Amino acid sequence: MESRRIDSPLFIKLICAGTDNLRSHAGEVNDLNVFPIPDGDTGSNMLLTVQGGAGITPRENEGIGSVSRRAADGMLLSARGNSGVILSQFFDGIAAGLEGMETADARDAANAFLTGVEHAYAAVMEPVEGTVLTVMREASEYAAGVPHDDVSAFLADFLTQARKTLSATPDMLPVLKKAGVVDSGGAGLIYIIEGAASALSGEKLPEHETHISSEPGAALDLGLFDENSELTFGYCTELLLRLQNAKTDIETFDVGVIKDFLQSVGDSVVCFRTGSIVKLHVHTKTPYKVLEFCQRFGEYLTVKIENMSLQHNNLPPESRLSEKPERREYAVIAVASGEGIKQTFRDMGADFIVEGGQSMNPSADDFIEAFRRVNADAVFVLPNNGNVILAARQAAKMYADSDVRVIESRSIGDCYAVLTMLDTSSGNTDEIENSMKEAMNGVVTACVSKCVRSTEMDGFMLHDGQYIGFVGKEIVSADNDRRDTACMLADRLDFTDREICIVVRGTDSDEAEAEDIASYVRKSHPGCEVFVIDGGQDIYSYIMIIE
Amino acid sequence: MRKVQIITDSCSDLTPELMKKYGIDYAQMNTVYEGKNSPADLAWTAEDVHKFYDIMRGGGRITTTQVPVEEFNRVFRKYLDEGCDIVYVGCSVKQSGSVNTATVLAKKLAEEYPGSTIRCINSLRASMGEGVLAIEAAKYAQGGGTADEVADHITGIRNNVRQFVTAHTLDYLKRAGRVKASAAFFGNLLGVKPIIVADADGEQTAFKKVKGRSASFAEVVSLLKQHITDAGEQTVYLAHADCSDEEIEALKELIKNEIRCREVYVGYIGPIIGASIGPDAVALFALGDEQTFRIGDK
Repeated sequence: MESRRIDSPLFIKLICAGTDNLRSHAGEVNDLNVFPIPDGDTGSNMLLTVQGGAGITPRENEGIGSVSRRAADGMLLSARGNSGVILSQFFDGIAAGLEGMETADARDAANAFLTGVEHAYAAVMEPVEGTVLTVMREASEYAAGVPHDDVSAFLADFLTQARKTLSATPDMLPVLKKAGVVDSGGAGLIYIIEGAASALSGEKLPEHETHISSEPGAALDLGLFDENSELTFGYCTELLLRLQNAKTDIETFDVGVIKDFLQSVGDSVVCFRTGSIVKLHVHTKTPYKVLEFCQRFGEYLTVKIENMSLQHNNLPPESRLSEKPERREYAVIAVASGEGIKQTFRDMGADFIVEGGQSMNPSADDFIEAFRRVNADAVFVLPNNGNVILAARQAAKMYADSDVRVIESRSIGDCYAVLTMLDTSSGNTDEIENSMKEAMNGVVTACVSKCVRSTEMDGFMLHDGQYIGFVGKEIVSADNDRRDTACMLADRLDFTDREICIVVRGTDSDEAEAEDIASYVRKSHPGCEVFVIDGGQDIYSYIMIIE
Repeated sequence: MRKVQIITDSCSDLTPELMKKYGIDYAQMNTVYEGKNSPADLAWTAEDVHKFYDIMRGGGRITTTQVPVEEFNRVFRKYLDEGCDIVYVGCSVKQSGSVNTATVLAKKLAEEYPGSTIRCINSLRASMGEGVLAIEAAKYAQGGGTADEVADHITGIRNNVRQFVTAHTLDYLKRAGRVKASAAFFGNLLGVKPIIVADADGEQTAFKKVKGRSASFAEVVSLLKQHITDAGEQTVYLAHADCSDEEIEALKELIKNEIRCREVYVGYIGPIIGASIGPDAVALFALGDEQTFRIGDK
């Protein structure tokens, strides 16, 4: 095949092909879970991340430098989980490597990949070898060390080494070896590059459906705002501003200036800066003021202004109703999945549920939307998963309209404990935040789930189809019988000074069995009040909360 | 000088022993279970108590009625005929209409018994909180106070009677419509225990929540310790709705160790208050600093 330079439309096609290939294998990547239950999320997280870059449409005469930058920025915004953040930073480095270029050849690609590796390593506080980092580093270094005539050959060499490194990851990370799996992030990366490579070599360059970048693809009903309509909702205004050296000192420019201004002319303000680019979002009745003000500091890369009456009426009726409640003092947002758990949290005082959890991490964008929806002076966020805290924090940083406090709840049990003790009547945000944090002290969350892979772990010989009971990441019981696994799990928990036990039953359990487990716990711990909730969660047959 | 007779009602949860000791009588309210009226007798045995609360534990609904006019008529006349003045210490009007009924009747009786004084006092309290105020009235009367002096005295110290109550759940009180609770008590909070006080207007108010039974015991004791005055001279009254002996013994010990009061007096929460607050509630009462908290204020 003749040597071919990569231009911007091809670059996006490659990203799309990579995305498609990962999509077909995301389930497999999820299953490369150290813990032998189906709650892995690396594949989904990486897919959602890379999709954020696949949605870009190259503009006329746009070079690969610019389009790769936009793709990388898109990925960062939709990055989920650690693997997603690392992946987005890999592409951030690639974009940095391609900066200013019109097209790229194999040499450029090699340099860009090496920069990508640097950025990815820099994104992690303590890089661990035996992970996606090692895979991308060894593969990039190997492929960059060989001269190539075209990018296709470069990617082929990258893949050869990447697969070699991936199969060696269990030797680098004992936890992988013990679980008998290879690194999931590395596998995800390989699927992406594999998709791109086969597209490039023409094996199956897909006729890619055009990705529409402006959202309201559905036909707008312009009749919704006629000659007599009143502007009630204002304009949803989104701008991408490039700070200009001629207008401001980019080094010291404080984005807070824009944030403050936006708040004075509208609401739902989101404003943040990456490098010399400021991205802002505001709902305002006077977008011209925003345009005028921000142009003092730079020039616009993109401008999007939409009459929200049109947007508004496009929504399904129930979301229109819940669109924006009146401004309130406090609101609580909790991340949860499972109908019963979500309903329980709502009943207990959560104002908004962000769908998600272990197997589906919400993005910063999802949180920002939730902040906007609850419309409160102070918002308390309960991420309920260690992997979700970062996205919640990022969103909190970007959102200027509310005082957002992220309570570092790491489990459903934490959230339950916080909500039972929720009391905003003091009217003091710091005090409320502190008491929410205190409420999590001493809460233990344990789970029963079905094992999907035979392996040896924590001294248990586990086989596929068995049930396992675990606390955190430690397995403490295993049995072929679900009920017995739950009871043995309860036996292993320390009930000293515990007075409350909540058994949250999942979709694959039944009520009678849950009650049976509850009476077992009551019998063995007479001082403890035991309750059963129908949580309706997937994956975990039972979640036991003791406090 | 006319003798002053202190009268209270079934809400006061005074044991026959205490009533005898302080010379107090009471007007009976009624409980209604499955359409059947029964007088709310405070002289019930442990067995009666157990049976009563087991009905509630089993999901049975017991409702209550205030003191009927004829009952007030009977009790008031009995002492008026003996030539006594009367101070009636009734349950908080936020919980019962008995004080209003008594006031209307008292006006009529005062005409019939010239020279007599009948004062009807809204105790702003219930259970042994009302009982403590009746005891204070009785002591003041024994010290030579006239009916008016007794009435004025206890009216002045109503908000010094402090009450700290906890229950397994707020559901019974909510169902009976006898509690004001903040939004913090929204939803079904499994395992969370409310701390209930009588506010300065006599409203029963769930003002705080605590996780778990032992923490709730520790909390009511700690709150009483903060608010009790002259602990060393005082009796702390502990009323409970059929709790286990071990639980009450442990609570009693906790009070003794923490508060160092003169004594802890244990009695049952009677049928009227019990029907509202539900089984296994515990309530502590003593005189303390003035209650100024109002649920409406914030």
